[in-house]
This record gives sequence, C-alpha cells and structure tokens, in this order.
Amino acid sequence: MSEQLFELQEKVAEIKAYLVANKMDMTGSEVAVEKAKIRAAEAEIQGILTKGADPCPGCGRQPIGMKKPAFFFVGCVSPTCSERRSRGDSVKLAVAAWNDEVYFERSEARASIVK
Amino acid sequence: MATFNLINDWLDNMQENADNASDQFTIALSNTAPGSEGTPPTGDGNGILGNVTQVAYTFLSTRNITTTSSSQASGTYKLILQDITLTSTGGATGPFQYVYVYDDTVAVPVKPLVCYYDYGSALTLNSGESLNVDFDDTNGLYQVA
Repeated sequence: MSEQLFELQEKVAEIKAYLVANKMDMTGSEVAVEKAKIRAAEAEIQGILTKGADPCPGCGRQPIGMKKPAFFFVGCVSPTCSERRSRGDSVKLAVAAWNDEVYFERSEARASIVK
Repeated sequence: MATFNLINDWLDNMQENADNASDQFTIALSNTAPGSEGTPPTGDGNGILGNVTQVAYTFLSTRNITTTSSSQASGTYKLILQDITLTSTGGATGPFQYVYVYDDTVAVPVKPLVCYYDYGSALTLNSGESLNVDFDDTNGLYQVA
C-alpha cells in the first residue's frame, strides 16, 4: 500500500512539475489532459488513505485521509464536523479509529511551525 | 506559534487564474518583512513571488507541497494541504522569519502568493535540522464561505 501511495504521489509531483515548466508552451486542452491525470491520481490517493472508512457520522460526507509526519490522519472537512479527526500509526489504524469515532483534539492553532 | 496572513491579491487570483485542485503550491522563505520589501507583496496588485526577497535554497529539501483536498462542503470551500518538512542538508538555510505559500503553476501573474506565516523571530536551519510546516488537517490553509 505504501509503495502504491508513494508512486501515486510521485506521479502527481511529476505532472505538476511538468506543468510548471511547460504551461506557457501548452494548449489549453493539453493542460486540461494533464490536470485530469492529477485529479485521477489524487482520487486514487484518497481511496488508499481512507480505505474502509465509513461516511462521517455527522454529515454523511466521505472523510479525507492524509499522511502526517508522525501518523496517518482521517477526518471530515465539513464546516460542522471539522473537529472529527482521527489518527493512527497506519492507514488501517487511523480508519479504525475513525469508524469507532475516536477523535483527537488538535493542540496547535490554525497552523504552526515547529523546529 | 506562527501567525497566518492572507495575501489580498490571492482573493483575485484564486478566482480568475488558479486551479487549486491541480496547481503546485510551494513554500518560499524570506527574512525581509513584507512591509519592508521594495514593492510590498501585501499591496494590491503586488502579490507575486517576484516581490519577495528569498533566502538561498541550496541545502534545502523540496519546497513543493502536496494538496490533499480542494473542495466545498455545506457552502464552505477549504484548501487542505499536507504538512511539509523542510530539511537542510550539507549546510545552513536562512535566517528567515517569513514562510510564504505561493502558486507555482499560475503563469499570469507569475507565481502569485497565497499567504505568509510570520514566525516571530529569525530562524536558521543548520545542516541536519528540519522545520515542519503543520497545516490544519480539516480547517485547511484557508476557507471561503
């Protein structure tokens, strides 16, 4: 799973780098094709990071998944449910915590930089 | 704790020029206060990377941020970005106090700025040291409602 995730993230990074370098020389339709590839890969990434996750018990929306530096994260981005955040040492554990409605409180403010 | 400051011009650029879901958002570092730049990037019409005095990135790891989600739910749009760890290897990076996020894909205007964080004091990453830019997981970099 982690290898597939890495490959997909690398693929997205490569396409983005290609667009940054060549966008001025590409037609609109060529750019659209590359952007569609990015969106498809990002959807696959989300599928991996939230595999087995139930819809949000608060709003019914599918949660998002993310790899944080120290853990995997599953949470809801709906404005009414943004405190529903679960984490685990693996995708499986983060999803299990989410499905069990075990949430953690974000201690940092809106964003923080820690050396 | 770093304080968040939105670049006013981004309100225009995100509507007219950017594609948040697929654009490459990138970090830029500066030790010059935005208001002290020759052309302050916080001024209307000046919110581009070219108006930021950047530090050298010779020893720094990638500054490209991974986008996790760009979508709206219940009338609130959020741009969710994955945390990024900047590591200096083989030499020092900085000093810097201001951490900008800009859109590296948009060509016109060239590399528009999204926001910056004011760390509060100058910071240097010596070789082997890292800085984790921790974006909010569910509230995102910013919201539009």
